[in-house]
Amino acid sequence: MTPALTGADIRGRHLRRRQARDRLMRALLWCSALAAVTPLLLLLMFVVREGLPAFRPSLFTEVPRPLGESGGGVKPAVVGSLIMVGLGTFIGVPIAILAGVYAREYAGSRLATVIRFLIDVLAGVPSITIGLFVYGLLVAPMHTFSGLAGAVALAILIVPTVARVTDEMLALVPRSVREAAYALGVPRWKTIARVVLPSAKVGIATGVVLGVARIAGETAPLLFTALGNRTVSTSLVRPMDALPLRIYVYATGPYRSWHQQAWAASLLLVLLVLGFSLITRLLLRRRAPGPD
Amino acid sequence: MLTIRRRIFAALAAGGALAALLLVSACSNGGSAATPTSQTGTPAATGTSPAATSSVTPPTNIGKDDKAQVTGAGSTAIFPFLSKIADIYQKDVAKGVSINYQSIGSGGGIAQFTQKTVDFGASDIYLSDKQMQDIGAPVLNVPMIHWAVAVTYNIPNFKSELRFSPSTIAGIWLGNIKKWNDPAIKADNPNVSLPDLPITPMHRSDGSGTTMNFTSFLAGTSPDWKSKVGAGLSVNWPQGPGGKGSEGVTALVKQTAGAIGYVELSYALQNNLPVGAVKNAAGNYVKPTLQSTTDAVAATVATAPADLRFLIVNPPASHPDAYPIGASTWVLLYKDYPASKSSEVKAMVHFFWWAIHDGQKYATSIDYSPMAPDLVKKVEVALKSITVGGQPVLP
Amino acid sequence: MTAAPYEPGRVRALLARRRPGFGEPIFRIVVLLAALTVLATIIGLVVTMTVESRRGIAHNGWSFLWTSTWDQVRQVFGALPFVYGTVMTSVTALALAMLVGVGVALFLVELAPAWVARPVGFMVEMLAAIPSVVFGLWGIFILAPWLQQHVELPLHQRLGWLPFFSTYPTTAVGNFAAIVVLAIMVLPTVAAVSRDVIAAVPRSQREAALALGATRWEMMRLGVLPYARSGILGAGILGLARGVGETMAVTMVIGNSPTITLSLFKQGYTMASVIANEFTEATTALYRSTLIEIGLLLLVITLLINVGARLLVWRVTGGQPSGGALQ
Repeated sequence: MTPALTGADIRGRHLRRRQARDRLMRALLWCSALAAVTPLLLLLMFVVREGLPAFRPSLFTEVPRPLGESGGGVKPAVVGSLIMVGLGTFIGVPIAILAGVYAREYAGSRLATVIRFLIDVLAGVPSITIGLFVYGLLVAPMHTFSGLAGAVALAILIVPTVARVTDEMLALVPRSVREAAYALGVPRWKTIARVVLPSAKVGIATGVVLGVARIAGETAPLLFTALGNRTVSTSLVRPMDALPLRIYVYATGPYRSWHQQAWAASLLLVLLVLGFSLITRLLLRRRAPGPD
Repeated sequence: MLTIRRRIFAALAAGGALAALLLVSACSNGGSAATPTSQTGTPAATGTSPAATSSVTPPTNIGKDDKAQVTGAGSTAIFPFLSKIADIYQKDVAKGVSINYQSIGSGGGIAQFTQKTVDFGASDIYLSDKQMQDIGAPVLNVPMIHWAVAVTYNIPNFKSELRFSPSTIAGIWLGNIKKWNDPAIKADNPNVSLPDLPITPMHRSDGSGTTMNFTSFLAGTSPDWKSKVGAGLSVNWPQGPGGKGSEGVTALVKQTAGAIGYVELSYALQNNLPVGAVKNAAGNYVKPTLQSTTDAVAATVATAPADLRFLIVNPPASHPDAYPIGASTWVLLYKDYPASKSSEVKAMVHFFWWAIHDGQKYATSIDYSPMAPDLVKKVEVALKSITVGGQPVLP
Repeated sequence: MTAAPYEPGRVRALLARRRPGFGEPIFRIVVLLAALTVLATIIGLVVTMTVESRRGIAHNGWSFLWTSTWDQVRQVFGALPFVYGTVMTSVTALALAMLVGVGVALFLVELAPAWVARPVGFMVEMLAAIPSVVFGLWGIFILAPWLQQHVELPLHQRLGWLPFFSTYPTTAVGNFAAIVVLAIMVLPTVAAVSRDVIAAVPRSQREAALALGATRWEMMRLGVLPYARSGILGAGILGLARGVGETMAVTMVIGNSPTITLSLFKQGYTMASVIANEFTEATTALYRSTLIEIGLLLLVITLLINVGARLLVWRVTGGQPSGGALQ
């Protein structure tokens, strides 16, 4: 062993140290990926484990029992969620798609930036403040909490998601498509409505599905608008229940049967969200092999 | 379109109610809690002349042909009782009536009643003069039921029953008593070996009548509490976690070793949590039970004023077996409702009419104390004064 | 896809039905109205909340922002405990989320083989789609009790001299549980935006670093991260905005006690939670107005944070909307 180090030795040791650090950092990055997926896996595991025992038909067909009595179900919440999410989608999606069309097809580039910016701003508004807004807009003047107010709050929440996706999807429609139509003398609006939008329909549908999945799980904006209902109600001018509201009440309560039903209702919501996400994946994969 | 639908509903319900009224008008029975009426109309009634005047007490099942959805919100303490009787009412009396009650806390009941967003509010504390003024329309405080504020705790592997003096309770929530084996708790429980476990006092994060009754009790018995915290629906808590509603506090106590909380009795018992005995004015440690609550009620309610506003905490020493933290829940009603709400209001008043009579008998099975006959009489007068569009709802 | 929409036959069919009309102006007006609806909603939101909080603003004054009494009996309101709770939990949660989130983003773009990147990316996006209330449920019953036993207690026993860990964790709910839940919820935002930003770094940056003999990590550290820095900062700020506005899960696990404390094991309160808990029960007009004032404050804070973040991210990704549709 020679005491003196050659340049090659130093470079070699230096290189080894660099490679060791490289390996370490790569390992850490793998770890962070693991850390990122673990919560989801744990959450899914527990939702399935705790939710399955109460995941029975009676969960969907029965109304809540009086406090302290076991049994019953969350039918009012299932019905209410269907109505409010449906109506919220029905109100919000057309506005969102048309706003997306305006941003991409009509606005000048500067105005488009403004619209896009506004859409992003709306996406960033905390959902609880939307609840406050709709309370002032509908609940206080109508003198009743209502399914309508809940649906409007959800409609506001779905707009940014769908508008943004519409905007992005329209951008992917090749310019040549529009030019071909223009060249044949098709008016611009007809080109958009009959040629451009249909070519982007799969992508837009993806956005709608994502938006529906998002609003189906929203609780905060419903606290002051739909309020909740322990009986099955289909009236839009009366308080209405929703699955997330019911989960919130049941999760923070003391009763064992409430907890079981909260888990089961969560399982339903999670299945819905997972299912929707998988659908969008499939839609997107079918659409194009390009980067996603 | 909506108004048309509402009108049709109103017409249907009004017609139904009228028919029911004619059928059973002779079947009046004095209306005391002790004599439940038959659940169906009596055929014999058809023969008698419809001479019903306001002095005649209508049958308790007067609302059996109503069809409406009634919305109420407020007190979480009455929720177990109200959900039970609403369920029975819909099953056995009026199939077409659903009572949608949201337990958002007494503060919420008062707030939403004031905002006129619900048909009725429910609160464990009557409306103050100022609150009634703010509403700007005549309102009624209608008592429904009595109950006890239980001091409940969660000490793992601990079987003994604990006793608390008011100053100990105040000390725990003020944060002066930090461990379960504190000398103050030992003094109340000389023969019990207490663990060296931190105490976590839980309180209500929402505006709560349970809090109001509990803090009124403490303010009335502990000068320290009165000067530092005071009494209210929601006070400036010195420490500890807050749970939403009686449900939330019960859940927190259940999930936390070393926790102590105050909730309506049935929440504690339904969840198998132990409840402590509390020292009353006579110096006795009394457990919250049906009997001890009824004793507490008897001390005050006999002298209840005509406006039905009273508190039953700290009954005098002349009632040695009374539990010191009794409470009542009031239903908050407007004296006059708009005619557009006719069907809802009729269904609601009929339901409460049934609730103060037949409904009371379901109280004891879930640890509430029914109202005394004297009080029911006073409540009858209040319910009869309610009008919809100027017309009285009850005959 | 079925028949291409621009096939000649279809276009001819369109032309055949062509007649001069009002289609164009009407369509233009309709889409303009839709865009204006977005604007109107935002304006309506701000105006309604400003108007309805006027009473509170007038009564509470500026000291609302730095006083800490919250006493609805005496009608004395100070928002500091809620502002503090919001900032403390979301900033700490963000720090945790950034640590993991940027790591995941680098992993997905630079390191992972496609068969790993696809499912990992999907799972992280899924995390964003799980409803807040489900996180809350899981937090109350599973995560918080586990953290209390296996993280908080050991930390208190070993590092109890630090102010953060000085309180004995008596309850499962509290600031710490809220921070961890929040970190998990913010993670997908941070990861998704960082991934977009990192993917937008020109390939030449990487090739240059590799050509100079850099290892993969050195390439990331020297070639990629400096270039993406401001975008990653933007990702963090976007995550912060999401954390600040998050309501349900936090309300369910934070303990709802308006105390200002450094201790992570005590209970806290946030602006969104106090609105969720108390708005329906505000018994006086002033109290209600004050809660709306907190809502307005929350709105302004999130809007400012969002605007800042968007500007940063746009600078890097060149004006394209970013962050994926899923956040």
